[in-house]
Amino acid sequence: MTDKSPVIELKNLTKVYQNGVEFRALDNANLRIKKGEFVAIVGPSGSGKSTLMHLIGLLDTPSSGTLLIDGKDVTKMSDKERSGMRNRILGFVFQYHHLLPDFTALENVMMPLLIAGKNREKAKNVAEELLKKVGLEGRMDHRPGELSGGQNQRVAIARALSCSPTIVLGDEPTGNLDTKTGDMIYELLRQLNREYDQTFIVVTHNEDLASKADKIIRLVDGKITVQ
Amino acid sequence: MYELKIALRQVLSRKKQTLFSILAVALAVAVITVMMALLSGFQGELIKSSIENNPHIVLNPQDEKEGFIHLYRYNSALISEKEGVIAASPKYISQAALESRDNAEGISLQGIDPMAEESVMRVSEDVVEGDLKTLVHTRYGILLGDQLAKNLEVNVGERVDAVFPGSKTTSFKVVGLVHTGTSADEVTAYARLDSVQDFFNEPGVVSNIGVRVADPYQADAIAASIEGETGLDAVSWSEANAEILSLLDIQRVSVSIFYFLIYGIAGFGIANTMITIVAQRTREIGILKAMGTSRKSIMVIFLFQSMILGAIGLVLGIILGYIVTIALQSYEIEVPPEMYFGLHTLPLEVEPLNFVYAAFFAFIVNILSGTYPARKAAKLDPVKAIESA
Repeated sequence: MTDKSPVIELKNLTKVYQNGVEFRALDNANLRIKKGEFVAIVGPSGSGKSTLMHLIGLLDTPSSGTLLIDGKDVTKMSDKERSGMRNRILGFVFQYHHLLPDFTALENVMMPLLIAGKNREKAKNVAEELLKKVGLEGRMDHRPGELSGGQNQRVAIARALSCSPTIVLGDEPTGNLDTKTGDMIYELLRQLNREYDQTFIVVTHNEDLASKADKIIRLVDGKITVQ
Repeated sequence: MYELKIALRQVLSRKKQTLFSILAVALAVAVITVMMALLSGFQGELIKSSIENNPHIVLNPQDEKEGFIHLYRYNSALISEKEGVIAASPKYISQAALESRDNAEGISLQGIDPMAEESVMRVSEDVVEGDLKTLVHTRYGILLGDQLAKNLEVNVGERVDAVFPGSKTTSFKVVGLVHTGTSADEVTAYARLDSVQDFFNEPGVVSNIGVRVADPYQADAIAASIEGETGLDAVSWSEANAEILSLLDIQRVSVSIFYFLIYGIAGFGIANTMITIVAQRTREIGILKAMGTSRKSIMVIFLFQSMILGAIGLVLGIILGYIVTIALQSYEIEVPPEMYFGLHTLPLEVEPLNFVYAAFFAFIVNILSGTYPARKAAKLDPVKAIESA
């Protein structure tokens, strides 16, 4: 995999919060992540894991430095371009399942495809395929309130994959689940990673899970210490 | 249009919450349509009554001191020939007294050419007993206001004496009774023009000439033209009622302020509901943003929601307003005539255009009041939105 070009590249990426006092959540981070890599980000609370995640996920904008995704400088993009990239290139799995409560599992998975402007029929086929893949073929018409935590997280994973993103981001995707379910979800992510050759970046507290990743990034006080 | 799908789903999932803002819009639209129906009815009725109860144009002597129109036959003939004029009716009006047995009443004695006056004022519509035509062949016949007849204690077929200082007391035979429903019924008496002229010793002159035109809204122009041709002072109905008409305009403005306030209240209701919805949906807005929904689309989603609320509200409001208007129409709402320019009941008029106006402005108000919450939603920081509980 060494010949592959980096799908994500950080150059002196810095995020400073100014809430009365200056807080450097991310401090001159330099990082290259290649296509198909499974990367774990670990570190204590407040070390900047989520900030890094949100910057890569284009949910937040850096204070300085450059961020290249798929070779494109995303720091100078308009909201429309960034939204488009979030839709097509990125997939999110959050700690809490974060599904739309008024929509069924199937509709939730279809949503990114509909946002991308795909037609309903095609979106439905893709969503059904993915829900089968995560083992929820019998639960497609249930709403999030009618599903367990683990099931909801599977829906969230299916949703993250629906637009065939280049990069899948997980912000403690197993953090809110019991160990057994957490392991299962983690295994599912790894399996999908191998199957689709997508880049996975997962924030986790769990060292056991992190050790199974291709690459571990350690963050302390906003600085990347080990790669 | 996934935006519309999300908007619909989100609005419909909070039934109770949305119900109240829908009701606010519905009530506002209903109140406004009913008020518009009242106002249209009132104005329409008022204009109708000024057109119906008075000649469209009244010609007065050019010189006020003189007090009479000479050459009225020539002038009447000339005016009747004019385009747009239906009829002209010369009239001699003067105060007099009527006596019967021990009763005496002060009256306004009107000398008319019965057929001409009928063409101008449609008097026979108000004749409740006897017949206007009888006047044509009864030299000393008289029609009395029904209240006047009651006060004099006379019936059709009986006689009354007309008395005026310097005039010879003349006996008239009551040939009919007139009921207009106004105070005129207590003082009005119609007799033949020649008889009245003789009674007052003023042959060959009249007090004024009433004119009926085909289109009342052309009365001003026709009046001006008659004035130019005859040199008489011509007053159209709209000139005569200028004060009432300008009062109606003022009323229209003041009522518009009411409409504005009512819409404002409904608009704040929508805005308030939408702000609450945006606050409750903050996390979902974050999720939608993470999935790639642009700021514009978020804005569209929440604008759609306020439009849905508004649309349901205004449809309900129009139905409610229509039902209330129809219901009120079937009641006779009595009002003091002296405060309502002689109208006894409040008329309501269902004017389709009013409903269109009410709906249109309600919709504008909705979009305006939905804009701020929608912008607020669009501008939410996705990170904070996702992390909000």
